[in-house]
Amino acid sequence: MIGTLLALADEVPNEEALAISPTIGWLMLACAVCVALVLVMHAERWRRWWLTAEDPRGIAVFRIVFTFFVIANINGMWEFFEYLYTDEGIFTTDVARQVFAREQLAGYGDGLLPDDPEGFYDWAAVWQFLQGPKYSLLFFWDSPGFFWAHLWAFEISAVLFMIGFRTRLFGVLTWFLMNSILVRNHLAWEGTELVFRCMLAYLVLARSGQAYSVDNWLRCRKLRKQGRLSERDGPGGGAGVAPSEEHPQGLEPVYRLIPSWPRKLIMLQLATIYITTGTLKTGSVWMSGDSLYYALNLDHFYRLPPQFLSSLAGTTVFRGMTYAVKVGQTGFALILFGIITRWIIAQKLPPLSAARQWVTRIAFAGLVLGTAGIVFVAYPVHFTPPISAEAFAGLWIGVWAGLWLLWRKLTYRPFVVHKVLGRTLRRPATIDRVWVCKWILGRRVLLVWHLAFHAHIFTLMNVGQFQTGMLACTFAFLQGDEIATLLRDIGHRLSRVFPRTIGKLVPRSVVERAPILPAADPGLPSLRRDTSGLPQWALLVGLGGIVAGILVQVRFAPSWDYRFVWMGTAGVLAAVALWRARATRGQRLPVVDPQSGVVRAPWAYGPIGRAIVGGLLVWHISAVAVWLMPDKDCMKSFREPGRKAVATWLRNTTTDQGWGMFAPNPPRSNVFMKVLVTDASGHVWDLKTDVYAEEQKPIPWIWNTRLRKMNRRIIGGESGPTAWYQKWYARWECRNWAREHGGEAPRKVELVKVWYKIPSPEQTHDSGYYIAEDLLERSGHEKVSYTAHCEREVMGQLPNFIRERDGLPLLPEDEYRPWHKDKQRKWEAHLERRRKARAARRDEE
Amino acid sequence: MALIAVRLIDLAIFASLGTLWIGGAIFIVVLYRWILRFERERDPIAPDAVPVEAELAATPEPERAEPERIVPRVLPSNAHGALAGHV
Repeated sequence: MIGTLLALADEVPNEEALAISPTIGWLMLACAVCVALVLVMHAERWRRWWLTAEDPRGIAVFRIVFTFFVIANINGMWEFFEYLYTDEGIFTTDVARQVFAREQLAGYGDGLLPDDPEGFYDWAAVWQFLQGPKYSLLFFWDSPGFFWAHLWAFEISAVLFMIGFRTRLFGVLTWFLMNSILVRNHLAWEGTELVFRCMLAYLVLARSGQAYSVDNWLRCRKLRKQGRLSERDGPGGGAGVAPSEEHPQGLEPVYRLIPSWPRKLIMLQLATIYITTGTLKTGSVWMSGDSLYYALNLDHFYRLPPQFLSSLAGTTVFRGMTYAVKVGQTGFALILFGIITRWIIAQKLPPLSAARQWVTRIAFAGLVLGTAGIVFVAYPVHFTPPISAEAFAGLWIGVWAGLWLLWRKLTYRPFVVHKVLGRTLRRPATIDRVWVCKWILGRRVLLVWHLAFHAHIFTLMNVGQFQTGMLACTFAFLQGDEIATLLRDIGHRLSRVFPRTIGKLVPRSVVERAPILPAADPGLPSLRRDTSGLPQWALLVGLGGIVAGILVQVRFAPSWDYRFVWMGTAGVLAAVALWRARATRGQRLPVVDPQSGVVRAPWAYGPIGRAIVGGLLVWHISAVAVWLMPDKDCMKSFREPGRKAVATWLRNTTTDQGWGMFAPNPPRSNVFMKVLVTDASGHVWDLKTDVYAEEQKPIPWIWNTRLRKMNRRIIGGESGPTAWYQKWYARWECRNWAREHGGEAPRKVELVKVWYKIPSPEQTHDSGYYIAEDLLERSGHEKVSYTAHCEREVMGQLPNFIRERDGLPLLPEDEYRPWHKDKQRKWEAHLERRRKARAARRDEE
Repeated sequence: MALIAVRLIDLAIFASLGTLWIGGAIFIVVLYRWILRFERERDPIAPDAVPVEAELAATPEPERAEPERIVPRVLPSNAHGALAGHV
């Protein structure tokens, strides 16, 4: 009773929070403008960071490792393929279309009634489908035969992508086929799917086939035959040679340079995952440090019984580890600050003009004040520390002022350390910006945290391919020459340990630890070094256009789509880009910057390509930021309109995302689903579908199964409205029972929620550890959540098309109860409404 | 008292965690040695300051014994600044 009341209370909106949400919205917009202003002032750094070319070996290793786990992730569902993705499974074709892509396939008839033919009703229906976002072949063809052919197409495509054969083609195919499988049914989805969908989308956009691939091997072989390849011991040393009298066409490098932005987008995405999930973990269990204890004691996850360890470490070591997770996840994004700062320092770009420096300072101060304002306004409607809002906001501003002073100190008068723990250093250590970015915010610290975090989860818990996908992203943080050096050193060491086997397999240069092959010489004349770029006034116009679009929508709410303002702004910027490209045609930047003496990386694209890709990057990063705004009442007024503006883009690019894993709190009960089937003779069978049954709980748990996730989702052990799955699952059990029992349907199927409360860490510490099976026996609860009477349940009967396949006796036509959705009438009504709305708009105008 | 009921499988997690921590510590030592060596080879002019004792202890013996096997790594001068900007 109390639980129900609390659950209802959770759904009651916080009126005070709703009231302040417009103010929060304006403050957040002001903060976003400040961030944009800082970036506009640093536009040269922004475009050099995102739009230059780099060594392809980093992303190539990521391709190989990540795609291997893409395959492993899909294959991890092998035992449920037909259940999840075919017309014999939980959702028949028409039901899958209706529950997962209702709007997109609203104009597609199911053919269940004579006046509702199967197929698209008209061209408008085709157009509606093409607008996405769920492009799955399995919405149209999903017999087991077709599914297996589809799966093999995916497997072959993914293997070819992994080895780098026709890499672009098979990369796109792998992405399409993987999503074609996944979007047919969301029942088994975990955070894992989001990781693989997002990262694969970025990977497919990278030219990852230009190293460590069959494609590059074939290319080099062909060039070598033609005498056009620059090799290790020849001219250029593998990095390519410009055309000369000796080589009129020049010599091609072994590793051509590729656009660096996809790899950097993967880095940014990983940081985004962490900061989102870290900041969403605001519940009392996280704050008290008990999350690891509860997560580890979930019977659905642990590989080995953790209760004894929990009783010893639950109130001590586990709490430290919980805080290490919380702080690490929230702070991981600082890795990008470290990387980018070091990159900026190494580039030795000329300082900004005084005016731009002041604009930057004012914008940054505005950002700090804006965020302090958000805290101040939202303070009364949130759980807060026991200090006043004024004190907290003042403290916030003070922290930033302190960081600013510290940064100046590190820049102009760095600390010099002569002694550490009483030991004199041979050379004094200078604690400057570079040192901080290496040893505090560097990859060597935060990536090691990332590895340790996932290694712990992987060792203690079984959550499928989430860890492997996340760990694979580590390679995106390494540059091509680093990867090449690492591989060479590993090969070199192995060749010394196993001289007769590995020593003979690896190249001689590796055995001898010769210098790695360089990537293409950045000075090759074929590389892009034009001087074109958008002037700063154009970028400010762009920023103004984006803000103007928002203001037009909020102030006037016009009948036309306010995003036309944004499109118009993009058009203006495109025109300026074109004008600049023409005006600077023929001009080339020097290879070595005359002021800094640093070699400039060439551009990844020409001027127009940079304008397009640069614009899309700004749009995409902004879209993800808007999408991930937390679901709070104090953001209600602008969160949904903001998400609506970017939803189509993110969903169609398969980069829509949410990272609230174990947030705000982890579950504190073990929840299972029991399925009871009453057969025709009245006998009740327990199908033993969850880990309350011994046969479903192998220890140690090595191979993951999605059964547990699906059970939680169906029976209510997951967040969100998932109870609607219950009727479809019960109906499938009705059909499946009939299928396995000569066509005879059971009387009823009952879904029972079974659960028990995990004792608190203190209880386990004080009273000693518990044995899960015993505790379930002693303190478990059961509740029937859904009952399906198979005879009268919609689609609770085994349909004749499956009976025909299996050679079972057919049902009389009137005994099967299909789900009539009346789609054609609804589609025509929808078209009519749309016509009237258009006419009304015309009249208004 | 509670220990009487402990099963062998309840202790297995200690072995898992112990292996992870020992293996992880070894991995971190090997990784940091590799990073420092990589940085010395990439940018031999400005090595990081490390305690004298630690530097001596970290010097791998096999490389001293067989210096002729090590071929100094030479990045092409034109590529260094452009393509190898941040560690």
